[in-house]
Amino acid sequence: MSATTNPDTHDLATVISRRTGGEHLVSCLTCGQCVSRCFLNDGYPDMNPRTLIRKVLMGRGQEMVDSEFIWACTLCGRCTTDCPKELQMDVIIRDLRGAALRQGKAPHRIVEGVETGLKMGNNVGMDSEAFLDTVEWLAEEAEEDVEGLEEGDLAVELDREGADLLYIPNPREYTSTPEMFQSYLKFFHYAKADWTMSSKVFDITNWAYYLGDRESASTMVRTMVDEARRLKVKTLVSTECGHGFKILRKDAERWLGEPLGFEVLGVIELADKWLQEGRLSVAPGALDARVTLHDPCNVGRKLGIFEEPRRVLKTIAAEFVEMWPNRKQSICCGGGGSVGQNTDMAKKRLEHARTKRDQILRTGADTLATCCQNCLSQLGDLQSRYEMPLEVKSVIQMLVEAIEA
Amino acid sequence: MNQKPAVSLNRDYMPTLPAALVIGDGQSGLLSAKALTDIGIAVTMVKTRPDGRTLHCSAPDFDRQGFEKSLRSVLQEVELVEPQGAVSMRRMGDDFEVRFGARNVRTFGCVFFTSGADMTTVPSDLPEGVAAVSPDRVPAPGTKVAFLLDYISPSSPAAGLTAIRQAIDNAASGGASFVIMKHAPVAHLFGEALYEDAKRAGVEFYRFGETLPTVRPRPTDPSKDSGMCISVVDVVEHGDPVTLEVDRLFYAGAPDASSVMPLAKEVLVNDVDEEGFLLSSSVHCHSGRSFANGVFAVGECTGELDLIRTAAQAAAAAARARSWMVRACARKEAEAVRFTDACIRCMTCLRLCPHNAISFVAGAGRSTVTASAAACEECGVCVSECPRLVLDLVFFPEAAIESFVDEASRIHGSRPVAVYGCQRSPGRAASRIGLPPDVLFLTVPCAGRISESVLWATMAAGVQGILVVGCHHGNCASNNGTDWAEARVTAALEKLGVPTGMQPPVQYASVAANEEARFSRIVRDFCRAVRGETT
Amino acid sequence: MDSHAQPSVVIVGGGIAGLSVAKCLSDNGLSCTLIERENQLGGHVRSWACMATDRCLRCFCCTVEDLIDVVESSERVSVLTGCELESLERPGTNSFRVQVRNATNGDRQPVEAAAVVIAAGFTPYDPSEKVFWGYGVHRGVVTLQELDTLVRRDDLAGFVGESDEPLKMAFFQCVGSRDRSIGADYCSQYCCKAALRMALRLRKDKPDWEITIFYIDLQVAGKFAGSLLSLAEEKQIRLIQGVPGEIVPREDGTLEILREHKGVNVREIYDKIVLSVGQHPLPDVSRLSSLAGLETDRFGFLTAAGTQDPCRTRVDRVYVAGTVGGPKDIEQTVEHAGRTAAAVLADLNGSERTQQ
Repeated sequence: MSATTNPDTHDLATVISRRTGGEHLVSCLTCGQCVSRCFLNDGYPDMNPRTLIRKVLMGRGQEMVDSEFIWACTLCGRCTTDCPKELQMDVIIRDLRGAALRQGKAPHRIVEGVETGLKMGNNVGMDSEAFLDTVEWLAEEAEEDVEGLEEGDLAVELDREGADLLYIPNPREYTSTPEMFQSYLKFFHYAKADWTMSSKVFDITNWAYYLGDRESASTMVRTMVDEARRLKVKTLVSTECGHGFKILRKDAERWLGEPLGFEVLGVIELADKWLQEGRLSVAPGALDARVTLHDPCNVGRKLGIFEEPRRVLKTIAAEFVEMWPNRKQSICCGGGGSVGQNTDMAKKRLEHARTKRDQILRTGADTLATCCQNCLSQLGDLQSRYEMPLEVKSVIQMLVEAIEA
Repeated sequence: MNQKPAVSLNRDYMPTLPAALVIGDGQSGLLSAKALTDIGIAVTMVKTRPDGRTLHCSAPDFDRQGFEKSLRSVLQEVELVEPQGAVSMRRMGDDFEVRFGARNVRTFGCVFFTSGADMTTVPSDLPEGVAAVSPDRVPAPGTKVAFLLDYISPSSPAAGLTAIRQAIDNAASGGASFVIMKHAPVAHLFGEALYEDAKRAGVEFYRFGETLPTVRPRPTDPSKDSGMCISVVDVVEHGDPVTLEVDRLFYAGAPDASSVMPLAKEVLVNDVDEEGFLLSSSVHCHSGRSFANGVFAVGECTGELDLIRTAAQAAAAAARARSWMVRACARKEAEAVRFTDACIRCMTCLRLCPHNAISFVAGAGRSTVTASAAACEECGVCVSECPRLVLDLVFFPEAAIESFVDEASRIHGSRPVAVYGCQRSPGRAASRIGLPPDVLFLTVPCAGRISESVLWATMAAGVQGILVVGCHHGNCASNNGTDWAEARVTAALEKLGVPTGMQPPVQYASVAANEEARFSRIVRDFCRAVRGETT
Repeated sequence: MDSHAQPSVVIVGGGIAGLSVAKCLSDNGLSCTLIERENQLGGHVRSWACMATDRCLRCFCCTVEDLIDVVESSERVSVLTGCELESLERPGTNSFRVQVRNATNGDRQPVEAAAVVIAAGFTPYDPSEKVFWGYGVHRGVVTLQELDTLVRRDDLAGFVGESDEPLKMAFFQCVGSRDRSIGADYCSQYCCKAALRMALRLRKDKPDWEITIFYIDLQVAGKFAGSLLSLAEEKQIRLIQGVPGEIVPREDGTLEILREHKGVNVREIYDKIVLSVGQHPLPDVSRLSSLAGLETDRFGFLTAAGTQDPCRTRVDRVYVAGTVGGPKDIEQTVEHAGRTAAAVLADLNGSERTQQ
């Protein structure tokens, strides 16, 4: 073929194209739009999405497989939003990561997380008993702390068949941010929801997705789907978790090749719905806060859920300010796509997010709300790293505060 | 041919039309002949040389064999002439007198020059063995081939699309295809789809920037070959050069104007574009129409075209040729230019007429010069340049200018400014705005009518300044009327000897019909300048 | 009107295509009825500016004025402005009964037709949905058509201000063209040349402006088009491959873009950005196509008989002319209209022969 291209890696383009739907990669027009939309352009001045695709197409994909860029990418999908050829950069990156994984070049922390997840059903390695204890203990603590809550109000019967809703949390809630977990307990309580949790499947995340490991990613989805079916629920409710929610909502049926047989809703959608229906009562503007919203890439750009969190925040907060750009144009927090979990990127992810920081500061808000655990984690780190004069909260957390105010 | 019963539409206005002459029997010629016969015009076709050039066409639904068969069927409907000796032609009244050799003299209502153009030229710095892309030269199936586009100068899009089509076919036959280009040619409704199909078929595209690809013969196996090595730096990837080793390299070029037939260049002497192709690059010369009324040109002799555009050009030209002949019939008795007996038949008018309207009729006693009222567009270039001042336009006579100058002289106390503007551009612009009362505006058919003597007479009338306004250069409906106007203003100023730094009292400007605001500003600025007012 | 007593050719659309067909047919002795929805003839082209610099750049805008004059003064063309095609019936094989409705007063008028030519034109792409470019949000981002209209009104200062400071202006090509995501996976064929002409036209008055054209693939087919490219290079118009995907407004009103230059990501600041929007099918093209019994292609343009016969349609004696059948520049439109006129002539008078 050519003196300088490697036939093995040349296949990478074919492999990626085939995996992503035939014509996918080769369609690239080199129009250049994606170059401008990547927030990593300062961090990697000689790399951008277009160059990456070009290199893969020219048989130099191995350079990309070996590059740090594919692990710095947050799979935010901003670069290929409105792509004239409908290319999806996050899909391309995951395929490159898959190649790296097969070559033993994937970050250990993520690989281990996937192994733990496959073995234990969650990436923190917690067993059912420990989870039950944690839930019980956190419920009791919250009941004591909040005026008006009686003992047993927040108790939830796990594994209850035939409940309306099966709530699957993100492990971050019951490990590092228990107050967040308590907010969800209270949220369902205040809404008088008919809900349950599983004692076996209590991790909505899917790190295998980050690694481009389709097989493991499907296995993880299959576990959640099977549990929802076992419990005969009408709706699987995803916590405020971007990728976990997005996979169940958008990819699961395609991956499993069959209809799920139940509905997948985000807790944020429920909040909006219940608030509008009057099922939750809140005094308008109950929170004396100037709040702004960060649109999580998975929830916003990829699932099109833009207005739900806004309606909630506009109802409960004294003032709502938009940050710009927002919605479809929202800039990634910088912690998505495994970057937040990848210890190799710990320092860089905060540097890469300086555009996000400036964008947040320009709003003059005292509270930064979002509806994705991953974003919350990254934004919290950003807040402390750059000493931003504001609080970072989840939308549900704020809603619960407003109900209690 | 159309078999449906014809609906009679204003049949009274369908005179018997003369026949058309199509020079050239290549694809463009056949397309022209077909277009003419389709609308009921008899065609005589001159066999030129069997150039065998095939027009590019890459449309997905294009059936080349069927197309060529239907084209050849036209031959049964036309009279074919194989000239013995040189062909020459000249205007004779509304018609054209054509000589095929010494004895055979025929008359036609209109003439079509048609030909493809040579696209086989390969830049001399490419090695021997690089072939030009052609619809007739298909790469050997299953081989490794590369197509080089935009090398040094932009490729003809038609050739570029042919390259992509052949690259797809070659890939489908089990070969490997590469396209090396600066710009992907997609300017067709199907262009983007073709480009996409090529990429899906496995054709690899490399895009170069300022650095041209380098080509050298393939070092291995010198016995067989046209094998080539091409090194290219992809401008998007910006990496090291990629070297492609192929069995054959094809170059997509552009048509070569030097292959345009000499007779056409002789007849359309003032009507070639910057590159030497037939028809000026004027907005008035589209659809095969030339400034020489009744003379048309179709095919790549007019510049880069593919088959679809050539067919459109041929059909549109045929419809225009027909309306030209209808007009000629209707104006048979009309008179557009008056010649007095003082004409010495110097032929200045014949040489200068942009519309090829003047004919010279040799007589036994006294030869005459006449103008075809159908071909004349009343630009007045002939009237203005006649050294004996023996010509006048019938519909815009000298008297019209005289009375305007008289008017200027009658009110000369108010020192008016005279503006001469052609009807087409400043005339229309003026109709949309009000000009100041101290500006006298005369609409003339074309700025080419404003002769130097008109300028002197206007100055003598005591005006403060004269502004001559025509269409923009290259936009004049009479090809160069506006250029004549500027040349005369320059000549007058030279004779006046205006010192540098002084505002000249005569000025030329150009506007378009839709530039009324600009026209108004030009008039205002000129008035201020000649009156010594500061702006 | 008397002229309606005998059948004529009904032409739907009084833009450059319809006018060209009307001129060509009336010059050949046919009666035409030209139906135009707007209150004046000329279509889009009438609001576009002359692009001449020290010479005509062959934009063809002025030719619409020539055509309007010819058509309006022709006794064979009845012009019905402010009117729409309401219905189309076919009482006989070769005759149509066309109902024309006056949009203002609702009056209906029947016209007997021997043939119908649809020359309804296109609609310029509205780039509002392309939020990353901020059209309609950031001041300083306009479409090429809007800039054209400003130049036409001699009102560039209204857009760029009166300041003498040299401006930086950029053109973004392929906005709404070659874009599968909006179903417009085709080249609009006129925007590259239009942007080059506009850049040269601006250069005439503004020698110190920095003018940049960002493109994907420059399409410069046709006569004089190659000269546009070399003129642009000569006049220091920057031609850059790759279109920036986002426009970020700055506090001082300028616009920041990011692009790749020789392998490195760089930021650049512009004062004004012009989106060269493509040609899209008319919003009501489906109404027209169903009235006439035609089909639309996958992009929404009216489908013609085929590559070799792009003016006739699958319905006998119904024709398309100009951009209603696909994107074209003005020259191509006029040529296509000429071919349509030839097809009408051939079908209506084909059996007649001139003498040898």
